[in-house]
Amino acid sequence: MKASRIGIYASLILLALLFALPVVWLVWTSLKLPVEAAAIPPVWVFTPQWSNYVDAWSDRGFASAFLNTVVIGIGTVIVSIAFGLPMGYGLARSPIRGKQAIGIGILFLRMLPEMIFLIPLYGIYRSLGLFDTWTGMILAFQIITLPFAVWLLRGFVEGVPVDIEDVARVDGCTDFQVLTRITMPLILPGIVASAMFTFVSVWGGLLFPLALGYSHAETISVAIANFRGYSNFQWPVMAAGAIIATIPQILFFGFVQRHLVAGLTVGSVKG
Amino acid sequence: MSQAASQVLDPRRSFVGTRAFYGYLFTVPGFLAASALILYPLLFGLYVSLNDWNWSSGTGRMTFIGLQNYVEIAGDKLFWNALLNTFYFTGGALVVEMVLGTVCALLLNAISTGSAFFRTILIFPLMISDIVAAIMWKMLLDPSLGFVNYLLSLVGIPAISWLSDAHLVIPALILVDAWWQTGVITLIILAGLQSLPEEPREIARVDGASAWQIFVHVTLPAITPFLWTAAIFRVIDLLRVFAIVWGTTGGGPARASQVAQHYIYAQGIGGYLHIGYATSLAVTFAAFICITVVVLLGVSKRAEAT
Repeated sequence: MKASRIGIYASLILLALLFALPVVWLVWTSLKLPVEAAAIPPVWVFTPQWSNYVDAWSDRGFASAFLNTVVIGIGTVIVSIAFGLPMGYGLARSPIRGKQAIGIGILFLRMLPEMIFLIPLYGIYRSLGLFDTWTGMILAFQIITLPFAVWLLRGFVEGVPVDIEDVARVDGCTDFQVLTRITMPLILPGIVASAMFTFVSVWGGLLFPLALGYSHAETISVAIANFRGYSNFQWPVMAAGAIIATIPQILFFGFVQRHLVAGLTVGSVKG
Repeated sequence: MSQAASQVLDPRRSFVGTRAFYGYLFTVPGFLAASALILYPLLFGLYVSLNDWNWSSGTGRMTFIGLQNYVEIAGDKLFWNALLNTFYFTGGALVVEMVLGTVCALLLNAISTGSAFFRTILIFPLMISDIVAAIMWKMLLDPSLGFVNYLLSLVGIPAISWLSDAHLVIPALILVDAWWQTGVITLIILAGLQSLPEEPREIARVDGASAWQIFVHVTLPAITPFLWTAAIFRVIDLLRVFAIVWGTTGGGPARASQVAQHYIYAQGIGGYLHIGYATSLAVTFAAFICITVVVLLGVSKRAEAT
């Protein structure tokens, strides 16, 4: 019994090292001088170069990409929640036909490769002048985020007992009042979680801005992708940029940890 | 019951004001938005795939050519190469991630002290976006200056060209993806394990079953539905892979790691601007994904029924 316990912890420590070491290496590289970062064997003792972060931030287009992503992310969240919250509520609570079909529809959408939307959208956006605009990007991201928000919010509404709503209804509330005064305050944490999931899918999304943006709507992921052609001597700046791009995601995941599994299996018909 | 109650309480008895009415009222705006933003591009895309629509020469005029794009796909060796690479990558990554994720979940479920700490570390890569992971591993796997080859050199293994050897590149990318996304499996299986009652395992233990026997005969059958859910979600996301490959190898060496979405991107927006042809490729690829998922769902239903 004792020996197996030691074995379990030993395996966990080994796995934790495997998963953590690349990240530790990234942080470590982000603080080195270019010559130190590209040295073999690695330089273990060095003076941290915090200026790498400043250099990454002032790298061509990085700061404006960061700002673009914040604006597009917030815009996408507002549109997705505004349409997704009532719809999620309606699906969870009302005797509407075809609820199952919508679940299957969401799973089906998830199966489609992004390119099936992006290539025709490129044509549409070029014709309509939406190419490389914030509005165009916010509307395009709804393809991913709106079904996602609807399904998550439906789940959260189902977590609120119907009895509470019925009591309010007996007291004379309309369904609209039930939503705004009773259910919405109760599922506020769920709304926040859905908003965060939506924001993170914009933040980490590469294909949409890569396909439909160029400079005005370039997002942080595209800025990171531009690092691909950099040479070994730019490793510290690349690492610092990668970390700047990841910090918001780490903060968001801290908030949504409890809902991670629900978020990962959105569209799950079994659930 | 609650529905009946509200109907009794509703004095007008008309459709306006019933729960179904509010249900539609709430659902319709979202449905209209989804139709305009999701359904319309999709249907328009199906139409585009039947056209020659080329933006590389001027403003791009659409010419209806029927199924000609699809006929062309049949002879497009580069597309079939990309499709084969995609399925090779997906199959390999699925096996590695399922095994590793299940092991991680079982280990995490077996401890109480420090379980939150280890859980956070084991799922940490999920917080990193695909393109950041790609850029990071491009540096780590650098043949001469990369940290991975340095660690291997400590145990006497000579430098490996992870990303520039045509035979090694997809296995290397499978390992990168396993590092990045195994946490998905870990989380789903862990949720499954935590929902299991303790008694059956306790009884088996009292009966003298070994840890391995308990796992194979008691735990594994109980978490099978979770394993299927995890596998199906991973397959959907793995087949659509783009950034992990494009960001590290750009599809090289010599298309040895070019995946379907990358080839479609290059035919369409990222290079040739053959919008009509690229859309027909996307539709074809979507059909392959759907068939794969339907087959997996069918197999999982059958496996659960027996």
